[in-house]
Amino acid sequence: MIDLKHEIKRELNQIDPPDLWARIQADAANDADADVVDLTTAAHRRRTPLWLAVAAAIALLALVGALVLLHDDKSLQTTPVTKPDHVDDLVDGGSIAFAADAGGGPALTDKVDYQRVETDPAPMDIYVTRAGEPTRRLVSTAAHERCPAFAPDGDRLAYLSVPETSRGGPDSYPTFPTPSEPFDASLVIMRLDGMAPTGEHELVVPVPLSYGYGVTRNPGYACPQWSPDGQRLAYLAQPVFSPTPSSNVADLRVVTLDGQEQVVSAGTPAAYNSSFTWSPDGETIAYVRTDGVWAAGLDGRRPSLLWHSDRTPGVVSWSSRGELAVSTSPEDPAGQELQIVDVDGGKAALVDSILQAGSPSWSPDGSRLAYGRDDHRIAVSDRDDGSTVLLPSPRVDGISLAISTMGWSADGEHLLVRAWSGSNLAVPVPTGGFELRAVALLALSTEGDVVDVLTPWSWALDWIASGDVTTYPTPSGG
Amino acid sequence: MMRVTEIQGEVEALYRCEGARLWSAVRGYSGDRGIADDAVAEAFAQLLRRGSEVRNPAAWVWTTAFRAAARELQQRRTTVPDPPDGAYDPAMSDWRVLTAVAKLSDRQRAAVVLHYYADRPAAEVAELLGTTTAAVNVHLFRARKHLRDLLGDDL
Repeated sequence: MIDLKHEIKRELNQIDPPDLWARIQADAANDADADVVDLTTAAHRRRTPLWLAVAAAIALLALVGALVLLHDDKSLQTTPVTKPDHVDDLVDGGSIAFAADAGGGPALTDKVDYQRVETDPAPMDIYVTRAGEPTRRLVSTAAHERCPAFAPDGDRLAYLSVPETSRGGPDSYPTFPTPSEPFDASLVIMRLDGMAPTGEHELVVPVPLSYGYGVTRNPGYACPQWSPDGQRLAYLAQPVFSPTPSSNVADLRVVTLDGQEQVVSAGTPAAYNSSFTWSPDGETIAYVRTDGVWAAGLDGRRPSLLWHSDRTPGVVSWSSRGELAVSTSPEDPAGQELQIVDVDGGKAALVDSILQAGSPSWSPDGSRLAYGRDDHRIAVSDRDDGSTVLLPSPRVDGISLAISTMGWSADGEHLLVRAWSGSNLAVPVPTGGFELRAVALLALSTEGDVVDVLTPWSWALDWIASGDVTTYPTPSGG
Repeated sequence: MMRVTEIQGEVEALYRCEGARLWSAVRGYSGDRGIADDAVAEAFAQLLRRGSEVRNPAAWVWTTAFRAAARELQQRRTTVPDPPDGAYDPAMSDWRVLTAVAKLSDRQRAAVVLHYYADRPAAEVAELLGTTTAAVNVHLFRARKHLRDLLGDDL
C-alpha cells in the first residue's frame, strides 16, 4: 500500500534544489521596472554570470536606497502608472480621482496582481483616471491619503493626509489612530493645472483626529466636502481623546480658501461615521448625532435639531432640490432604513429597509436617489413619480458582479460603482483554467448596463469607500 | 522604515528557509527543473523588489511561484507540441507516484503537491491558489481517484 504523502516527499526530496540566491539578486536588479512575472525573459537570465550578479546586486542596493529616500520624501510626487484597460469619455471628458492602496500601485496596470491578497489597506495614494489618458498617481507620500475631493470648478483637489505613524507597521493590522496618543492629520488643498498637480499646496490645515475611526478606516461620508460655491471646505476634527467609539465626539469645522477656520458645531456626540452634508444654498450644514439630524448655520446661530430619531442615523445627504436623505447606521441592531426627511416639518418617509452601509447618493438634479442594497444590487428611487427600480446585477465578460454605489456622473446619465465578483473571486475563463477577479470602478447606465470599466481590476481598490472617489465635472447635487 | 540591508537579509533568510521546499514543490507541480528555477527565482526577485510592501512574504512567494509556473506551463502548451506520453520529464520517469501525478490536471496537481508535499491544509491551499476550500477538496478527491486508477489498488 502506497502512502501518498510519504511517497511524494520521498521522490521529490531525492532531487537537490539549486542555490538560486545570486540569480535572484540579479533578477531583482534587472527587473526593477517590471511589474509582472515574465518567464520568457527570465529564461534568458538563467545563465547570468556571477560577476554580473554581483554588479546587479550593487545596482539593486543603490536603486532600493533611492526608493527609500523617495518614499520618505513628503513632498508631492507624480508617478505615471501604465495604461489601464480602457478609459473613455464617461464624464464628458472629465476625470475621476480615487484613493487606493499605495502598495497596490503596480497592480494598477492592465494586469491584475493575482498574488496580492490584502488583509488591510496599506498607506493609500491618490490616483486620477481621465478620459483617454493612462491612470496616474497624483499624490504619493509616506502618509495615508484618502478622501480626494475635486472643487466644483475643478481648479483644486482637497484630500486628507493621515500620518503613517498611526499604523502598526507593515505586517500588522493598522492601529490608527494610536489610542493613547492624539495625532494630527492634514487637510490639504492642492491647485491643479488641468488635471496635473502644480506641486503647490495652497493650504494645509492640521486636523486633530484623536479617535479617527470614521475618517481613517472607512471614510464614507465623513470626508471633507466642498461648499457648493467652492469657497469653503467642511471637515470633521476630533480634538479630544476618546477611547471608545460610543463616547466619540467631533467638531464640525469649516475653512475658507484663505485659511480662516470656523467651528460650526463643537463637541458633538458623533454617530457612526459623523456624516454631514451642505445645504444646496451653502448656508447650512446638516449632520448626524446619535439622537437625530441637526443643522448648523454658518451665521453663528446655535445648531438646531432637524429631525429626532430613536434609531441611530448613519449617512445624511442633501439633494440639490432640498430633500434630505437619511440612512440608519449599520450599527443599529434593528437594521438599516433609508428615509427622506422633511426639513421643515421634521417628518420622514421610508424609502427602503434593505440598505447597504453608507450608500445613498443623489443624482445631480436631485430627481433620483441611488442606494446600494445589502444584496449588492443598486436601487434607484425616482422622486418625481415615487417609483423605485432595482437594477440587474451587472455583468462583465459574462461574470455577474456585486457592486456598491460610489456616485453619479455630472450629467446624471451614469452611476459610478465599485464592482467585484462577489464571493467567488476565481472564475472560469473560456480558454480553460481560472482567473481571479479583483475590484474596479465601473460606469453603469441608469438601466444597470455596464458602460465602461474605468480602472484596471486591482486589489488596490478593495478598501476604497464612497468618500474615496470623486469626479470632475463635479455633480452639483447635495 | 525598513533599511535595504534588512530587506535583503529578511528575503535571503526566507529563501534559505523556504526556497528548497518551494523549489521542490514547484518542480513536482510543473515537472520541469527549468520552470522551477525560473518561477522560484522570479518570486523571490519580486519579493526583493517589493520589500516591506509585501505583508506576508512567506505566503506570497508560494503563491507567486505557483502562478509563475502555471503561466509558463500554459505558455508552453500554446507554443510547443505536447510531449509524448511518458516524456513529461525524463528525470522523473523513475518515480512512480510523481509520474502519475504528472498526468493530473494543473489544478489537481497543484492541490496534491501543496497538500501532500508542502503539508498545507486545504484552506491554505485554497488561499494560495486563489480558490475556495471546497474547490480544493474536490480537486484532491478527484486527484486521488485518478491516481488510484493509475497506480492501482496500491494507493
